Amino acid sequence: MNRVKLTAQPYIFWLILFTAIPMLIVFYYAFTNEMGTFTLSNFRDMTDYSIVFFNSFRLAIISTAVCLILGYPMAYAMARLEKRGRTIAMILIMLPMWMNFLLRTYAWLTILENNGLLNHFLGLLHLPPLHIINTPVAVGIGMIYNYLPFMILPIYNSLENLDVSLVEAAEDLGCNSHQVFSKVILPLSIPGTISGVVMVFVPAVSTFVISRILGGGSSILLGDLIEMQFLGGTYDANMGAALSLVMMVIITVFTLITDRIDSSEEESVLMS
Amino acid sequence: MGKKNFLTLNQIDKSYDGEVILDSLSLTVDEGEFVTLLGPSGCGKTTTLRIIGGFETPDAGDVFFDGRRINDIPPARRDINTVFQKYALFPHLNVFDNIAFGLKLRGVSRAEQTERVKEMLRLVDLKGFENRSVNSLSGGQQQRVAIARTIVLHPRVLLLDEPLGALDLKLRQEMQIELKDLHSRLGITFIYVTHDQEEALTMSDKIVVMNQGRILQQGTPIDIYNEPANAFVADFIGESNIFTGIMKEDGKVDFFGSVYDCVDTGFTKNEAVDVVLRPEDLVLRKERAHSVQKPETLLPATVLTCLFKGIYYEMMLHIEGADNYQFMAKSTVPVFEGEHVFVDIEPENIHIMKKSGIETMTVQKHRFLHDPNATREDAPDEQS
Amino acid sequence: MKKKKSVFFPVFMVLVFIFMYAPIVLLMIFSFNNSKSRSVWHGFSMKWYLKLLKDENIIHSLQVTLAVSLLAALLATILGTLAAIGIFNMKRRPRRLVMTANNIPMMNPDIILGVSLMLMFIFMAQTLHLHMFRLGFLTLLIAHITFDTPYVILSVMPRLRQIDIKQYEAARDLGATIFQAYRYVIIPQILPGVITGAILSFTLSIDDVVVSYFTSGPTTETLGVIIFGMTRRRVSPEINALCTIMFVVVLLLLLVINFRELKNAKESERS
Repeated sequence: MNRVKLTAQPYIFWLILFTAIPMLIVFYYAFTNEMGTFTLSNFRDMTDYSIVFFNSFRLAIISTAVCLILGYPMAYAMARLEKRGRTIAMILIMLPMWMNFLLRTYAWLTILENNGLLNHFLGLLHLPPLHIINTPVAVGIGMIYNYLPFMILPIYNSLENLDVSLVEAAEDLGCNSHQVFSKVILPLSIPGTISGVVMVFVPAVSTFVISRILGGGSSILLGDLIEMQFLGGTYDANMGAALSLVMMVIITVFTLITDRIDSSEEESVLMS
Repeated sequence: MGKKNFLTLNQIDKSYDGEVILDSLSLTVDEGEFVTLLGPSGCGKTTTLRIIGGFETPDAGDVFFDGRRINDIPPARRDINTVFQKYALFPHLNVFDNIAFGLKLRGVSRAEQTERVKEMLRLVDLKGFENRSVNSLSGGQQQRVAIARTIVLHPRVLLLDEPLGALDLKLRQEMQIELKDLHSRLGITFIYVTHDQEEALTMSDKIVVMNQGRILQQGTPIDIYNEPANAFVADFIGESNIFTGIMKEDGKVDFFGSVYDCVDTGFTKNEAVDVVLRPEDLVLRKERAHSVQKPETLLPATVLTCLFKGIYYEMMLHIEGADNYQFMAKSTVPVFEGEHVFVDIEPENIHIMKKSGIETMTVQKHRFLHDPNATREDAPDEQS
Repeated sequence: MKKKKSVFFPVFMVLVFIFMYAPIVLLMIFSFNNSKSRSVWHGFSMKWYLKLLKDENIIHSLQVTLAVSLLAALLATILGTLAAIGIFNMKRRPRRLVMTANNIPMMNPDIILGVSLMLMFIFMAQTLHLHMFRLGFLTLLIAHITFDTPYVILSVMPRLRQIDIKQYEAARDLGATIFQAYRYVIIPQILPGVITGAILSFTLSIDDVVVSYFTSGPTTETLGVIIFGMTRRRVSPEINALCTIMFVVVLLLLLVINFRELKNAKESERS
């Protein structure tokens, strides 16, 4: 039996070659200049971009919050359906995810652009046109649209697996429907909600495709900044690597914090 | 019966992560025997079986099979097959393909496969089940498929690892008889692992009682039951009252302040010994008269509980002068709780044994006896 | 969960679904528009579909996308299935180590994966003069295999865990070699997980834009990369047509898969 574990060797080799070494190279670039000598200037110069960091975080946090506000009731509504309805709702949630996300984003371009469908529709109602395209609002809409399923699915999973007898027990012990929700359903759905938040926040804070298509360069985000260092006009692989490193750290910290909240919440549910 | 010493284990050692599982274990099995390895969880019986089957290699010692050393021969090339705990049937194959699995690997022709599988299905009473999914079978039926799958290969030894553990009591009793019957029809060697002493007593030609990686006693079921070699065996084969006594001289043993006549000899004067009394051997008398033992030696006792168990009553007795010890007695005649009785025992029913090295078990045993609510822990899975 | 009559939730659900589907539906409708406008209807036409078929750029990138997705899915499935079996047979400590490493490509945002691989390829091609690592089809394929394989492992692992390890021993006991035991007993049982992993890999590869964007060469741009380039420069209703085709193909694929599963489920119920 022991020899069988050798079948993992090719993949371990692959992981070292194409995951570990590229990470090390990112580290190397981040701490050197174009001459290849050690420097911390990449991180020092990053302060020039603090507005980009601020914009990225603001937009990612707002989008995550809106996804939560829309996604939680949606997941709850789905969990209340009969089995057949649940299956259909699940398929309906998953289906757009099978379409290239670029195309989904592009679809919003056709709606939001100045002479797009939305303004055309507003014009028919004799309302003044809205200028949304190439603003952070458009980018936010794109994020919410693309990442909403990532919020709904984990919450729905935690609600769906909820034991009916728990709700009944709570009612039996005298909870009204509001209390059943706040004391039983909500605490038990927190792990799913946390993973939803992570799954939305991580791509939102790192995207450059959505901001490029819907933001049109109006609001540069962290992802755009990194992309620009490598493939844009301002080629600076060292700065790009440093920014990537910072992004990795931010995301790791964010994941760790949410993990912490997750585990402490679970404990408090058990105790209360 | 066929060849003597057909299968021999010679001083086998095996340990995992520094924990000794088998300690210089030696065992011989004759051809055609039904041998049962009996012992509690973790005693090493499953490991012994896995070494015979070839799934484990001993750290030291040799395994001989029909005169050949087979330590390094893989399971596939031994004429030994195993019926696994919970059967390990292949769920993606139907009954036919499960039974034909080994035949296919051996390149047996399709026609012969069909014939041999049919024959097996007839043998295990599953005619017409060829195309059934194994998941749709009951536990007993799965059991039969697992057996058919191995014996279709005509093994010379069949290893059975707690094969009845997953079945309910009634089915287990039926399967015991069927297995015994199968054994005598096939005439091949069965090595059977169980922690259930009743199963062992019912089916075996020879019982090997194991504990802590060692063999404590081997012999026929009757020998083991009647002449347990030590307190542990006595305890494991049926319930017993076990306590310390002092051997006064040959045929005289002192316990709880009385000197009883017994039949055992060969102990040194005043040697501390284990005294084992079967609950069904205790005779409760209302008065000291008409006793087998001298009337003055009878132990006065108070009845604590008397439970009806169907064909007998089970009583717990408080022995006067023995603060922390209770006797269990079984009788077809009920007594009243709180009643005063005298304990009488035939001399040949007093089993005297050398103090065994396995003190821990004896201690556990006492705790078990003191607390009538405690149940014996018979964990069915043994991971070793 | 307990149900109480409420109008809010059904209405809310419908609104969310409208939000999710309206853009797609509008996009599809306007792919048939007889004008370049993407907001004013000028009558039905198939001209964008015809134009799409003649667009060599798009056809070429479609070929690249399909080739890389199929190859990456195939190789990642083999690599990942073998890895899952190997990891499953490891002791606890090395197993956890490899599983943690396996999570890195999944936890990292696409952009980091793309950038780090690109840096390495450039390093290998320019500094080490390994010309095979010049950005092109090979680098694209390597990148896709790298992000596909963890998902294969994650879909195979649970299947392996479900199998009673005694089945392997039983197969060996009945005369199978190690290889035969895997071939006839283990592999057939993990096959659904393997297929799921392959489908997942394929869709992830088809859907990828970001990693391909960084790791493809000028002649090996995938469909996603081409469309991304287009949306930045000129937007043509051809893309609407392309979206519509892709959506319909995916829909049909899903229907086929679901239909098969339904049939399988019914058959297994019957037997």
